[in-house]
Amino acid sequence: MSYTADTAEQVSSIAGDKYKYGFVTDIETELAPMGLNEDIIRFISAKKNEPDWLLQWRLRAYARWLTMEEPSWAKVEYPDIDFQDAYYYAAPKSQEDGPKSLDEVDPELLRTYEKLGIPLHEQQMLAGVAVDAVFDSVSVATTFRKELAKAGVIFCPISEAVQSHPELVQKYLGSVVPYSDNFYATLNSAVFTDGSFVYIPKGVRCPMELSTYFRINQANTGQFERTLIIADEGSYVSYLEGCTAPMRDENQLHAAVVELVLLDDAEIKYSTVQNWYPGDADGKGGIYNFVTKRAACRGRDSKVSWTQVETGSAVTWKYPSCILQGDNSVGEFYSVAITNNLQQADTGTKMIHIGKNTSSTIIAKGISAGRSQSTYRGLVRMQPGAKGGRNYTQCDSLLIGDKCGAHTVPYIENRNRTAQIEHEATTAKISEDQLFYCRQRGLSDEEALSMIVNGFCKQVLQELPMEFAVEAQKLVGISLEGSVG
Amino acid sequence: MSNILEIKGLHAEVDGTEILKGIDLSIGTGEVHAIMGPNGSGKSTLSYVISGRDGYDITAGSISYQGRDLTELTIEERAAQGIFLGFQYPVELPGVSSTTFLKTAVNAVRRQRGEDELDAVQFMKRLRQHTASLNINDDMLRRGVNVGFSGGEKKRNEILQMALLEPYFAVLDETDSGLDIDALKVVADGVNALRGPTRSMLVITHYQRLLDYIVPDYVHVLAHGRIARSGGKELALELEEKGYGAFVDGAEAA
Amino acid sequence: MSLRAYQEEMAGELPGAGLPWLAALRTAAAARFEATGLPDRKVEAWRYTSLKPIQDHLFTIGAGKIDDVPPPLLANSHRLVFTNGILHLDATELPQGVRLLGMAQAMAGAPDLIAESLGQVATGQKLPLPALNQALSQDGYVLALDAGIVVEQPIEILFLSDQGASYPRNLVLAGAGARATVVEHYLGTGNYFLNAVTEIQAAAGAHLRRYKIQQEANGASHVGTLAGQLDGDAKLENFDLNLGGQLVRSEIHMALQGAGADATLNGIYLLRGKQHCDNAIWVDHAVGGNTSHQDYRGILDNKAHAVFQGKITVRRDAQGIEGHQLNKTLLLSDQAEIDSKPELEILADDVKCSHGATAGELDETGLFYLRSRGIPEAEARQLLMTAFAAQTLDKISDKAVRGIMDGLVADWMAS
Repeated sequence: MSYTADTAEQVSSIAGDKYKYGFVTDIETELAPMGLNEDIIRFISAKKNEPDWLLQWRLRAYARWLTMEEPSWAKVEYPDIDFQDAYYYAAPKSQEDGPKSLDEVDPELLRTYEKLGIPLHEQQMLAGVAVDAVFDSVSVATTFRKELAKAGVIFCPISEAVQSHPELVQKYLGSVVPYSDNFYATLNSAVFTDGSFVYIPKGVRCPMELSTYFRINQANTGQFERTLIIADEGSYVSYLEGCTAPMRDENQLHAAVVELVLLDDAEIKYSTVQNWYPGDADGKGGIYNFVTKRAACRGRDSKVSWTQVETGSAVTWKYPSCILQGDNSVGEFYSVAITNNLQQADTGTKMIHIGKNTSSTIIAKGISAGRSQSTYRGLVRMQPGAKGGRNYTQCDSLLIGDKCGAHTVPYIENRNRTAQIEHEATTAKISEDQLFYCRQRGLSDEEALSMIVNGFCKQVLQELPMEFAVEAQKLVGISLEGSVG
Repeated sequence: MSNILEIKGLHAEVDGTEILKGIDLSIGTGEVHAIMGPNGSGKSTLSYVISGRDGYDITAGSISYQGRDLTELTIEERAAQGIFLGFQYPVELPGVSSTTFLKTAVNAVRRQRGEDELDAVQFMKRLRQHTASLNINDDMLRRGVNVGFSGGEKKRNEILQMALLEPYFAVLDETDSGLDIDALKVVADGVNALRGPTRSMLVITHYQRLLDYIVPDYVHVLAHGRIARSGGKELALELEEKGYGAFVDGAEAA
Repeated sequence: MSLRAYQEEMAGELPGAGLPWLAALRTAAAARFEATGLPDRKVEAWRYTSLKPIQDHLFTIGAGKIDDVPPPLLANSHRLVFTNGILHLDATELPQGVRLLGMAQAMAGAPDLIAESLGQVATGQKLPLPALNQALSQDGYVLALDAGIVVEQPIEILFLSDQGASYPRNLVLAGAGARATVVEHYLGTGNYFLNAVTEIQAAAGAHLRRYKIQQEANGASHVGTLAGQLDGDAKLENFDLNLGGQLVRSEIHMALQGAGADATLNGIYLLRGKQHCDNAIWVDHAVGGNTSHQDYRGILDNKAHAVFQGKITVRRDAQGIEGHQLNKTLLLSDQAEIDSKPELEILADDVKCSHGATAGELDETGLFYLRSRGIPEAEARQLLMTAFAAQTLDKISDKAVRGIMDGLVADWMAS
C-alpha cells in the first residue's frame, strides 16, 4: 500500500466522533410551534417587538419565497428539505427578558461557551476581541460593549439595533441582499431571528476585533441569523465569526445572510471559521449551510476582504461576494474549504466590477478527502464601466485519496477592454515524494499530511487575524486527521 | 568495533524488476564508506531500501541496524533511530517554512526517542549553531522548504537537517550532484564537521571528486545490483583512472 | 413547424429511406431533439449564446447547387465539395484501403460501412443540435481508413453555402494505426444556416489531424459539432480557426477511452462587427493514462462577443491523467465582450490538471518597448497580435495547413 493510500485510509477512518464541539447543552428552551406560515412570522416579529415596517418586509419576503424554487445548479446532493418539519424560533427561557449584563447571563450558557473555548467573562477573554454570542435564535451576550461605545462603535444583536437604531437598520437592511435575492436569502428575510449589528462611525478604527460566535443547540431547529455591518467613511473593522453545533443524526438547516456596506475609504476584514457539525463518517447528520454573504463597496477607495476557513457542515453552499461600485474599490476573497467523509462543499465568490480602477483578488484552496466533493464556483465580471479593472484568481485543489472529487467552475466575463482578468487553477494530489521526505525526517504520516496541507493553505491562513490563525491551522489538521488535540 | 549496519544477501525489486541482486555490506561505528557506481547500478535504490521507502521491496536477505531488523520499522521510526537520508533531489514543500519544518522534525524525533521537546528559544539556539557555517541565511529559513532554492542551497539545507537531527547513520545520496566546486567545499566541510566516533556514513557518488573532500575509510563499487569490488580510499583513484568498465563484468559493462 | 411533422413529410425522400436501422436512428434522434427543442439560455451550456436567430430557419432545406466552386486550398489534396449540404464534386483516385465518399452514397451503396458507427458518438440528451442534424441530414462525407493505412496527401472537404439550411453529417473511421489529415473548409455568401456534425472513431494507435477553417458568410449562422472517441494510444490533433459567420457555435465532445490516447484541441477566433462565436469543449477522460491539451486564443474588435467554455472531466479511477486548458482573449474595443468558463471536474487523485484564462487589452509594456525601438504604434500592435496568435498556430503540425492558417490570420489583421 502506498503512503497516499495509507494516509487516505487513515483520513477516511476519522469519524464524526473527533468533532469536539458535538455536545448538547441541557437548557430549558422556548420554541415557536413547528412549521412555517404567516403566523410564525408574526410570532417571531412580536417576540422581537418589531416595528410594523419590518413585519411587512418579512411578510413580503415570505410571500415571495412561496413562489420560489430551491436552487439546483450547485454540485451538491441532499434529500428534499421539509421546511414544515422544523422550528423557526428557539430561545433559552432564562433569556426571555434579555440579560442586562454578563452577570445575568445563565451560568449554563456561560459554561457552554467556555467549553467551546469562548469565555464570555471579560477578564478571561482574549485581549482586544469583543464577542457577540448567538445561541439558537437569540443573542445571549455581547462583551466589551462599554469600551466600544466609547469609540462610538455600535456592536449589538440586530434585534436590539432594530429598537435602538431603527433608522440605520431600516436604511441598510436588505440594501445589499434584497429580500427577493435567492431562495435561502428570501427565507432568511422572512424568519431571521437574530445576528449581529455593527456600525463603525466616520473615521473610526474599531479598537478591537469584533467576533460573533454562533451555536445551534436545539434539535429540529433552523438557524437564520442576519448580520449587518456598516462601515462609514474612513472607518475600519475586523470581524470574525465562528460556528459550531451538536452532533445530531438529523440534518439541520442554517441559512444566514450577511450584508456589508462600505462607504468612502472604509475597510472591512471579515473572517469566518466555519466548523458546523459535518455529520458522521457515513454522512448521517450535519448542518446544511446555505449562506448568502455580500459586500457592497459603495464608496470610493473602500476595501473588503473575505477570509473563510470552511471545515464543517454536511453541505455548504456559499459565495461571499463583492460589488465593487466605488472607484478604486478593492475586493478580496481568501478561502480554504476542506471536505472529508461525505461532506459536500460548493463555494466561491463573485466579484462584480462596476467602478473605475477596481481590483479583486481570489485565492481559493480546496482540499478533498474521503468520499467528499468540493467545488469552487466563482464569477468575475467586468462591467462596461470598469475601466482599468483588475482581477487575479488562483484556485488550487488537492485530492487525498481516490474516492473524492474536486471541481472548478469559474465564470469570467469581461466587457471592458482596459480591464485585465487573469485566472489560474491547478489540481493535484499530495505527492508521495513530499510525504516520504517528511517521514524520513521523523514526522508521522499524519503530521506530514497536516504540515503539507497547511503549507498548501498558507496564503489563505495568513490572512486570518493572528489569534485565529493558530486555531485554524489546528483545525486544518484535525479535519483531516485522527489526532485531536 | 561493532557494526552499526549489516546487510546480508540483499535482493530488492522495484515494480517487479530486481535492482539489487545480492548485496553484502558491513559498516562499523564511526566509519565512512563510499559507494560508487555507474548510473542504474542500484545506488539510489540501496538508499531507499535502507530508509524504508514504499515500493522498494526486499525479496531476500536482511538489513540489520544496531543489531535490529530494520524492516520492522516504519520510515519515521528509522529516522528516530538515527537513520538520515540526504536526498539527491531534495523535495519542495510549498508554504511550509523551513524553520517550522526543522523544528517539527527535530521534536518529532526527540519525542520518539523519549526526549523532551525543544521550545522555540532552545530550538533557535541550536539552529543558529549551524546556519552560519553552512551559509544559510534567514531568508532561506523563512521560505518554503527548498522552494526556489538553488542546487547548492538545497544541498546545504540537507546538511543543516542532518546536523540538527544528529543521526547515527547518514546516507548521502549523490550529495555532489549539481554543485560547483565552491558549493561542494561548503557542503563537504559541513559533512566533515559531523564526522565522529559515534556517527557512520554511507556516501553515494558517481564521481571520485567528492571523495577528495569527504575522505572515506572504505570504497565499494556497485554494478548491476552487486558490490563488484571493495577496497580502501585508493580504490576511488583507481576507478577514476580506469573507469567503471574495468570493474564490472565485461559483457555487461556499458 | 415541428420537427416530427417535417420529418414525416420528408421521410420517404431522405437517402437510405429503405434502411430500417437508419429510419430508427432518425426517429430516435428526432425524439431526442423534440424532448428539449432548441436550447435556450437557461440551459447552462447555452448560457452565453442565444439560438433565437436560427429558430425560423431550421427547415429551409433544399437550396440548389452552387456552380461556381473555388479551387482547393491545398495543392495535391483529395477533395470533396458540398454545396448547400449536398455532394457536388467527387474525390479523385484514392490509395488502396481508403474510402472517401458522400454520406448519401454510402447510405445507398455501402450501408454496411456506416451502419455500426453512424450516430454512435454524437449522441445523448445533451446534444440537441447533433440530434436535429441526425434527423434531417441528407449528406456529408465518410472517410474510412483500413488498419495501418497512412494517407500522405491531405483530404480537403469544402462546404460551400449560399442559402437555406443544411445539415452535413460526417463520419471518420480510422482503423488501428491509420493516419490521415482532414481539412474541413466552410465557406459561403449570403444568409444561411449550417448545422454540421463530424463524428470520429479512432482505433488503437490511429493518428488523425483535423483542421477546421470556418469562413462562413457575414450573414450566416454556423453550428459545428465534433464528437470523437479515441482508443488506446490514438491521437487527435484538432484546430478550429473561426473567422466568419454572424452566429457561430463550435462544439467538441471528446472521449478518451484508452490509455495513451491524446487529444490536442486548439483554436483561434478572430471576430469583429457584431460577430458571436462560442467555442464549447467537453473532454472526458474515461480511463486512466491519457492526456488532453486545449489552447484557444481570440482577438475581438468592435461589438464582437466570444465565448469559451471548456470542461475537463476525469472519471473515478481514471488515474494518471494530464489535462490542460488555456484561453486567452485580446479585447481591441470598448464594446467587445468575452465570457470564459474553463471548468474542471476531477474524480481521481493521481491527476495533473490545470486551466488558465486571461482577458484584456494588448500588453502596454510590450507596446511601449516596441515603440521605443522606433516601430510605429499600428505596426507594433499588429506585431504583438501576430505573436499572440502565433503561440497557438505553432501547435499546428502540418506545415502546409499552418501556412494557410498563417495567411488567413495575417489577412484578418491587415483588413
